[in-house]
Amino acid sequence: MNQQLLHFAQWIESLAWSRKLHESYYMYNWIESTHVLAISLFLGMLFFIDFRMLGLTMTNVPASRIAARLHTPMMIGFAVMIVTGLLLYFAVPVRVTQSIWFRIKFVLLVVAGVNAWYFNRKMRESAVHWENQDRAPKPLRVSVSMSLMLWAGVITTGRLIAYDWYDCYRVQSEFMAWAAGCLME
Amino acid sequence: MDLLVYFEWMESSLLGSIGKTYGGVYAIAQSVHLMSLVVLGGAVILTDLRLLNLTLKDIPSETVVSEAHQWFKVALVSITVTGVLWQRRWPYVCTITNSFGQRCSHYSWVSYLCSL
Repeated sequence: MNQQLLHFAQWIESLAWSRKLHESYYMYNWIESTHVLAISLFLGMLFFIDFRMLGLTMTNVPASRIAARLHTPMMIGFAVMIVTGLLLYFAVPVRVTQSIWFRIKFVLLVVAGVNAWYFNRKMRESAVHWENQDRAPKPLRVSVSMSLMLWAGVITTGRLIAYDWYDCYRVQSEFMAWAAGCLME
Repeated sequence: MDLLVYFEWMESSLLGSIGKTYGGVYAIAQSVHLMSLVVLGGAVILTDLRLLNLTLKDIPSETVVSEAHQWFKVALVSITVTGVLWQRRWPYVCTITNSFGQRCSHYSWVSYLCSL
């Protein structure tokens, strides 16, 4: 698995556009800045929906209305965040593929996606019964709290990718080398 | 006043040396800074979208603005505290970087507008 991932990353790195993007003077920075702005839009909207479910903001407005109205800007932010995130990966594929933080981030993203699907399903089923209450029912609040923690984890691990504490060129334990996907070529 | 003297003092302070010695502390400060930025950005975008009548049209703008403002203030405090911690690690770089100067001037404008 690690071997295949590394080969895939090396194939991307061999593409001329990947190198151009990596070595560009301004483009990489612009993409990174756009990524952060898109995160602000996506997670900003998501956090406000979550805060409403927890009864921390706009409690006099039906929760499902907040969720429905903020869905479009949130998804625009999500789309831009994904595109710019892929471009950032495209620019530095090998190092990112062998980053333990990127791997943890990816797992957190998948879990956050499953949690979002569960939350949406539960909310659609039950919103009519509680949407005017200050707080959502407990199962939804648990899901919302998980959402906040998972996305905080995504941000933290995303930030930690920049650090080389566990990069493959460093001496580290066998487990860490395996988890990061370090391979001896 | 020579800003460099101030920033050199910051670099040699306890927080500056903690930031330099323990990379993890610095990384966590950066992460919290980014999360605060997300909340701050969300509050600003929410307010702007409502005032531009692009979303939440059926909710009074006073409600949206006042609720978003509460979170804006919380995020602004957090972003300032973590920003200072962040800056203490490389104060000299911040001093000589043009982008940082522009950022500071934008930041002071935002803080000023918020106080109105």
